[in-house]
Amino acid sequence: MPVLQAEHLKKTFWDSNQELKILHDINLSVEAGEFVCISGKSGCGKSTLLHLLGLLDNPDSGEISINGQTVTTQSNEAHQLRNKLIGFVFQFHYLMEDLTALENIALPLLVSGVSKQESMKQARAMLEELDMTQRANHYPYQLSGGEQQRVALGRALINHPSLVLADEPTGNLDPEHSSDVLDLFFRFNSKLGCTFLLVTHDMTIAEKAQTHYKLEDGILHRLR
Amino acid sequence: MNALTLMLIRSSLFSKAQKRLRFDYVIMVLGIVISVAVVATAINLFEGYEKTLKKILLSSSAHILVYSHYGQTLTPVEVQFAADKILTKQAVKSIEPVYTNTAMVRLENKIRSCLVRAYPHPENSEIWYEQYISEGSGDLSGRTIILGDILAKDLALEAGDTVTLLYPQTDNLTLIGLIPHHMDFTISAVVKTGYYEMDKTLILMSELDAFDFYRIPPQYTHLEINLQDKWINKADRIADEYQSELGDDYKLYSWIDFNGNLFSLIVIEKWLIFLVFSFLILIAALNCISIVSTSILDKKREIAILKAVGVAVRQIKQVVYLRILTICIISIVIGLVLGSFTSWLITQQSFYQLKGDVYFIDQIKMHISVFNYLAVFIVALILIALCIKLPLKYVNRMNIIDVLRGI
Repeated sequence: MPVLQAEHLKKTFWDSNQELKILHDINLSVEAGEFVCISGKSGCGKSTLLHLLGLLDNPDSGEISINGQTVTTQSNEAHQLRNKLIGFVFQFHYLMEDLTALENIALPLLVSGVSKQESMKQARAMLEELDMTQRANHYPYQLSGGEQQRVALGRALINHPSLVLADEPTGNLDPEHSSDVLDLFFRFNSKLGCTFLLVTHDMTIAEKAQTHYKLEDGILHRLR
Repeated sequence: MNALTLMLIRSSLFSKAQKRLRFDYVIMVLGIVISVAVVATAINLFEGYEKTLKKILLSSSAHILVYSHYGQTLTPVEVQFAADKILTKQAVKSIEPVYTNTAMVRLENKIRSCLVRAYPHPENSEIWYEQYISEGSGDLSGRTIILGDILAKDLALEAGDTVTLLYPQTDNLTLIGLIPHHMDFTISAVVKTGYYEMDKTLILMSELDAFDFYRIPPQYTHLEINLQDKWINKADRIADEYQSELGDDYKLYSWIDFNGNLFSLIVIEKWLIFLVFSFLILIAALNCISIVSTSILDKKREIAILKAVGVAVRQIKQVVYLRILTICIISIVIGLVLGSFTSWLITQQSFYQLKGDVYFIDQIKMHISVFNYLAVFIVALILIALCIKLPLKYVNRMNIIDVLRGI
């Protein structure tokens, strides 16, 4: 059973009474442990697709299933599904400014009702995996861009989600930090079997992925 | 409230990332602190006025007065009969027969009218005015009198001085007209009750001196009954009860009959002031609406992140609500403390005092009542809590996609 299945997804935006068909007929299937990359030019709809798959936005038509369960953002449980099944990594790290690195990582656990003590314990273990133990009590503004993105990755993975969605995770980093963060993605994929769906316009990253799609004119083309 | 909510409230209240105080928050806090302080000050001063006036009136006047039903003076036999019936009552603290009459006090060319109150001193140990003696001994034996403070100041008199009392009586009609009785008295003490009318006209003397001065046989205008503290506020009911026991030859009045309306008026005025000044709190609370709205806009990135990691909208609203409410509760408490301090300052100043002839007392006093503070706290909390709740609907409407895209 695929972790993620999207069938006939369509999404249209309106801009000054002009219809912009962003996604025409998206069909996608992601298996457990797979590392999928979707590439495409800027503005082709990669982020829109990711938001639909991450239950942050509604498609105009089509269906999304996670672990075989059909889900919509309309459902009352959408926020719970997002918390338990999906992890997000954004281009801009989007950490909570008032929380420490440790607290940021523990956030999804606390949301799912795990006790504070247990959440902090697991978050410390994650910081260790990320090689950031020394930075546990630092606030985001005290961390470098690469460290911030690593904390964001830790936050996305702490709940052992079925799927991690990453939107241009290295788009805001210099080459050195970009390489470090990507290594972590691939390490977690191979070591822990985490399923990743990453969108990027950087073809060098896309080339490293197990499965590679290209989004063009609102349609997904499988390249590998 | 779960661990997540607590952590988010704590982290935003004691944010290390945001080192500077936000100006709009400072304005919000100031608005609440000042409006609550104004209400608390007004309530403290009104409560102080009410309590002081009540204390002075109840300690310088009797709680129940017993008169002859026919408007005549009471004979010693009638006084004894009534006293015997009432003195055994549990609620009664003391009973004193009193003779009161008007007179004039003269010092050289100055003449002032006054009200003489004569007591069977010094045998009686319950001397109400002792606590108010501002100078002198208070001894009323041997042609001595006690003067009210304002009357004494008006005539530039002090303890030890001699003054002449005059009383016109028709039995002293001469060829050149009515010659009033006059008698010299030594001032043994000056009393300052704080009750303007009393301090301006009061002269106290022993009943023997009074009978001698007015040239009358022993008689009394009324009986003064003082009640135990816990019964004072039920004086009207007790007066009715004693009335039925004493019968129709006597007529009883309680302090509530004389002053009840005044105190009801003060209480109504106090709560009216509270109501009017509560609008200040409402204005400060309305300011919270814009603060919460801008706060939601400022925190839209954090709200988007929380939504993305699966926090329910209800919980996000709870965090925003409780964070602002905590600040507001602290502001209310500071306002109450500031109100206490401000009212204390007002009682300490000497630039402005009450006009005694208008307000009965000339002192500004304060009294902090837990009930009043609780009322101010609850009203302020309700108004603010309602106003904070209104703009929270923006959290529902927020489009987090635009926020996450960095638009």
